[in-house]
Amino acid sequence: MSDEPNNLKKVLFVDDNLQFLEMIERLMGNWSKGEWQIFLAQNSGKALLILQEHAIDLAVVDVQMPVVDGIQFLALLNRKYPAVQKVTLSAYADEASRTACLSQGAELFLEKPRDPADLEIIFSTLRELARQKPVSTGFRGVLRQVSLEDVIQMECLNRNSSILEVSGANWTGRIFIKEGAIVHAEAGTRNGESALNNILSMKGGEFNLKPFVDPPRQSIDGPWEFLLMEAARVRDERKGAEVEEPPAPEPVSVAPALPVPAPPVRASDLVPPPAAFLPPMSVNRPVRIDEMVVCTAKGEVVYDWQCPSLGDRISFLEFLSQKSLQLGEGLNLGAFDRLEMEGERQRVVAQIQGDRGVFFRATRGTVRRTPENGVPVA
Amino acid sequence: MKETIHNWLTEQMRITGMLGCGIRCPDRRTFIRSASAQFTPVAMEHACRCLADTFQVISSNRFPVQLVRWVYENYLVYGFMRDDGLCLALLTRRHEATLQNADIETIVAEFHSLAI
Repeated sequence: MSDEPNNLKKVLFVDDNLQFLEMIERLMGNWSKGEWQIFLAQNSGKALLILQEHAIDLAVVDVQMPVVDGIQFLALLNRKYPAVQKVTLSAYADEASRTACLSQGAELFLEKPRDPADLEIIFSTLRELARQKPVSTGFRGVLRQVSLEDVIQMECLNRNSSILEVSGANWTGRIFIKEGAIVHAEAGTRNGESALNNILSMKGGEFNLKPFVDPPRQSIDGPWEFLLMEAARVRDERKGAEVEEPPAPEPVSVAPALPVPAPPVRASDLVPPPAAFLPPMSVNRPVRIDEMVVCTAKGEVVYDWQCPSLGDRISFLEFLSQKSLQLGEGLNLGAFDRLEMEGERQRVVAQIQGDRGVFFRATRGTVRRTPENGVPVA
Repeated sequence: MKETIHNWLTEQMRITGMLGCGIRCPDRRTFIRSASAQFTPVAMEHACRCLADTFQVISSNRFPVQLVRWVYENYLVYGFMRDDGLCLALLTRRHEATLQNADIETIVAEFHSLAI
């Protein structure tokens, strides 16, 4: 049983600037008066190892880092450790970076202090955030945007040793990485490169980085770059045909459970109509569904209709899931149901419930506008 | 500017169904009015920040959207973003004593023409 005090917060700082990290440790360590246990990592690989070994409450990530930058790392963190509160620090606080960080689940986007005196303001902000109850529920994506190749690449570049455990509905595979080299893979009855290629051909699933233990044998040899390229080639060859999965009792069904919508239909057929909103979409005006996505709570797409960018939509639903909890925090609004977004001619609805996320975008017919304010009216 | 916003928000609080409202400026200053102790200024300010963040992410996704409505179990949160980055949040009940459509239209129109 842990003898750590309940209010001890484990705070991880990830920054390639060692001097900055040392200053953070010295100053914030003093200011926190024992309330924080501070961890430092100079790159994303070391940060991942710390995250594996310690239940980090708050991660503060520098946006500008070499190899794997803060935004990429944030995306990985958001999927693998969704309960960790995330803050980004940037020396160049431009709006594009801010948007990217918010989209990837950062609670705060802070400008890196140029004056050590400003660091105390940052500390106060972080302390408040660390004291807040972390978001522990909601919609979470898994392998949609951070591909397995990205994770392997990150582990190999950082010369890490770990086991990447990958699982689908009815199968599990493991890739052994030792000091930055892929040494073994197993999936079902397969071993070696065949297993590696099979795992990397999976269209979705979950992954978990585990501490390294020696594999039963070394079945793979060669540079990881070539192995990933070969896996990509094998995957391309299989393109168009069903991907062969490791032996499983039942195949994973990804067939759409919903009928194909035949536009034009009414948006109100898909989502409960709003009680009152501008402009009222529940009136009898034909709308054209431009795109629609239905996915599971883990971000696995079960149905999509003309969606131009599945990754962006899943990412948006993830953002929404977190933001809806943050928005309702302290206001006691009840469970979140959906976000309705209205433009001049477009309506976008993103609905998040316990087991699914739904996104659709629709265009309606001509709308009359008031000349004064440009607000569309029915 | 501060007085204009305060006065306008105070006026909006007289509308039936309005539980709270706030405006967040592009410089992150936030002005809040609340009708109930349940909706503390801190929580309302936090909600305004979330709304502004949402508009930013919506914009990055290229959804041509000006108005949003967050639908919760018991409450609705409306958000409106002006071209100059001024963001308005309105809080009302979802089922009964909710803000009326006509009132929201008026509020939005006034907000768009609010000289700040």
